[in-house]
Amino acid sequence: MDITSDIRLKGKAWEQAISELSDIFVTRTNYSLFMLSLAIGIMYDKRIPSLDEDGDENRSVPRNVINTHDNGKLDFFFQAAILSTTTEDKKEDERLELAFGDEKTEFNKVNFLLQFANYGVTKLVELIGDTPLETMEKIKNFLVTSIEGNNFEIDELMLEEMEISEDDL
Amino acid sequence: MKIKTIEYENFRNFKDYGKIKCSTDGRLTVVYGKNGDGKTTLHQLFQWVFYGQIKFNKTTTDTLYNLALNDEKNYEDRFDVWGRIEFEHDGSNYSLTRTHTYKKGIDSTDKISEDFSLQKEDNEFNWKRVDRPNEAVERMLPSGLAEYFFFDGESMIADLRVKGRDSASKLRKAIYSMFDLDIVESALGHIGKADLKSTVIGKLYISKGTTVSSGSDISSKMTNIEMSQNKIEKAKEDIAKEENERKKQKQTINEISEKIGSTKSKEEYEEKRQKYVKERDAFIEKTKEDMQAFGNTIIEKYPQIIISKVVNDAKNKLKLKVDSERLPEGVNKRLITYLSSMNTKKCICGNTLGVAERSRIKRYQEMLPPLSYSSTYQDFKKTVERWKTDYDKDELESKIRAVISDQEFAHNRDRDIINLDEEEKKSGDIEDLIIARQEATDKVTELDESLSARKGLLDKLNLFLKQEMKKFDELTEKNEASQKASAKIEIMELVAQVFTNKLNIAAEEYSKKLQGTIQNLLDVMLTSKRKVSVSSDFTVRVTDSYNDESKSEGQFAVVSFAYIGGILKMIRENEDLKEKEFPLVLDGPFSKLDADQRQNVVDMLPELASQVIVFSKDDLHDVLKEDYVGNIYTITSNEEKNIAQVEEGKLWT
Repeated sequence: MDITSDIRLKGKAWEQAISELSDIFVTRTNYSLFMLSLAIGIMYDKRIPSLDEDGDENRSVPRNVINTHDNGKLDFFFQAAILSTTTEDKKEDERLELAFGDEKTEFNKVNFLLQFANYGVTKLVELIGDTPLETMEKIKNFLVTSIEGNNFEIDELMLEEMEISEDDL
Repeated sequence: MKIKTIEYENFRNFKDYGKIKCSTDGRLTVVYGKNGDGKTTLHQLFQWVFYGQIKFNKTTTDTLYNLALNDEKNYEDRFDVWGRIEFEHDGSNYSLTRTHTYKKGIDSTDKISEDFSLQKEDNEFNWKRVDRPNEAVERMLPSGLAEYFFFDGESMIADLRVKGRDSASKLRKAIYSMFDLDIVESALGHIGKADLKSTVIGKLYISKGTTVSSGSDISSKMTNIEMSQNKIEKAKEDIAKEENERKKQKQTINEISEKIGSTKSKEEYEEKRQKYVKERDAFIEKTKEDMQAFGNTIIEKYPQIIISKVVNDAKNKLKLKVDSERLPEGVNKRLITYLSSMNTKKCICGNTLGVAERSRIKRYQEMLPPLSYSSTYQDFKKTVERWKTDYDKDELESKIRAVISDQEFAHNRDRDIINLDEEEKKSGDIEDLIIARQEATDKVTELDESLSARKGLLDKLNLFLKQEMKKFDELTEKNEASQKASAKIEIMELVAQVFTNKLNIAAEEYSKKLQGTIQNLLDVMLTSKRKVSVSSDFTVRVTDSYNDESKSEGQFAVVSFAYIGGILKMIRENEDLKEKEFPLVLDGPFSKLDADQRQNVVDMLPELASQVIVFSKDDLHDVLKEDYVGNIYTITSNEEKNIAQVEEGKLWT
């Protein structure tokens, strides 16, 4: 993915995540929180076009950080997002083309990903506890339950979206 | 005498009313209490009720009332401290009550009255007040022997460690009192010597010159003798006073030295604090590092792991066709390109490429870009699939455990620092202690110089007295009055000799008797053979087979039990006392005994007296035979150790 400008992290949720999670995510805090929030947003398959602003426009993930440390991960995340999302009404061919095609496209991939990250960061700030230790415990539990398939927020969401009737259950 | 109950209220840390029922059937009454809970206070309560005496250690105040209750009282409020012992003596029941009434003032609380009453139950079960209760108690339980009826084993051990002089002196006094030898000793003192002017012989001696007129040589010598006797008496008083002061100063030096030994200097505190601060900061730093390591692990692996899960779950959501199209294992773009060439006639496996094979190759070709992203999708899925394997829950949990452990260490060190600061605040400044010790040392040096001068003066006065007495003897030699006085002196000296012999023989007899009794008890209680010797001044020595004196606290503890056992046996065998029963209220040093000794000692306890009430800080549950134990109580105390209470049963777990 061609990243030509910094990714702006606008909104109170980003401000809170960066200020309160920087003790845990010390290395390249903004980039780290962006990638983690992005993965969470894609997992929930929810996007927020823009978060409540807090007037501070200076937070961002610098493009040089992404270009140095990303190693193509952002491409993979985009491919996963576009191939799995129900938030974008696209045919399979279009999804595959966007995911793997070489041709230039009008589709704003970075903004598409940022919207997932915007949702992800709102979930992340819900995990902030009274102490860093409590936060760590909550993050760990969130990851374990999500990965082992016990994240009821997502499970419920999927059941609703799959329109499974109670009889089927 | 058998003590039936003891009641109390507001006596030192026993704020509330309490009552202990003592076993009177020969079984032991056991009162358990941990250090500082009030065991010694309760033990002392017995002596307070009987004799009005209390003897706490040097660091304890003499205040009898409960401080918490005093705090609750208002100005001018009155309150009582009281204790009551009900006992049986010679077939009658008695109730002995001692009460002190206090009044709270602005700055202090003062005792305003006290009452001591003894009541006896008559045949019709009415209680009648007994006249002169002190004398009645003295007859029933002689105060001279109080130390032995209410025996403190710990004090005995402390005394044995310093050669047992105090115990010897007390025992000598008690035995002399018990066997009426104190009268003989007092008579002997009264007979006295020629150079002691207030004694019988002293007076007889000076009467040699009473018939002469003033201004004569004899009269002058008499004046000199009386003057020097007065001065000698004064010098002796001064010496005794200074020696007493010297003893106190030496004790102060020892106490301060002990404090200095256990007191850390400011530098030591600072050094230790620095060490703790350094360790705490290191743990805080490590906490940060471990938190960062947790964050790094998450960022390195978990976004990808989440994406892996998303891709895996996506097939349930979108049902992409591309998911069902899959190149066979080992078939890739390069192979398909090679096989698609019209020049290729055979597959790499050697099979000829027919129509069917070429049709299949064409289908594979359609799965490749630009015709399809099917193969690219498969590659993508393979990569994403690999990410899933990085998931490791234990790794995350171990990082959290590391943070918890670091925080605990940091917190503990923080607490150590607070404790250290508090300890430093409480401990006196070592500099002040050193100054106080130096002052006491200087005082001892000063007293030594003064004592040396006074002893020199005393020697001179004694010499002068001797010389004047010699001259007086020469001058009065032919005097009739002198001859009569000398004859009387001779008679008195003979009487004194008889008394001295009586005392010596009695001391020898009782010390040997006591030695035998203690030795017998010691042989039963001690696992190793030790020899006891009680000298005629009642000093107790315990030696091994090399005649080396024992220094072991454990052995001293056993000796203390044998000692009290021996004394009580002597009392039981005394003609005048053998009909009476005496209780033994024993604060026993059980903790200093090893397992075997403890068993032996405990087995002997019921034999020591007709009623034994034992105070112990050690759990004797395992060594006490069930038949031996009557009532059991436990003293419990609040955390501040200022309010205690006694509850029935052994409440220790």
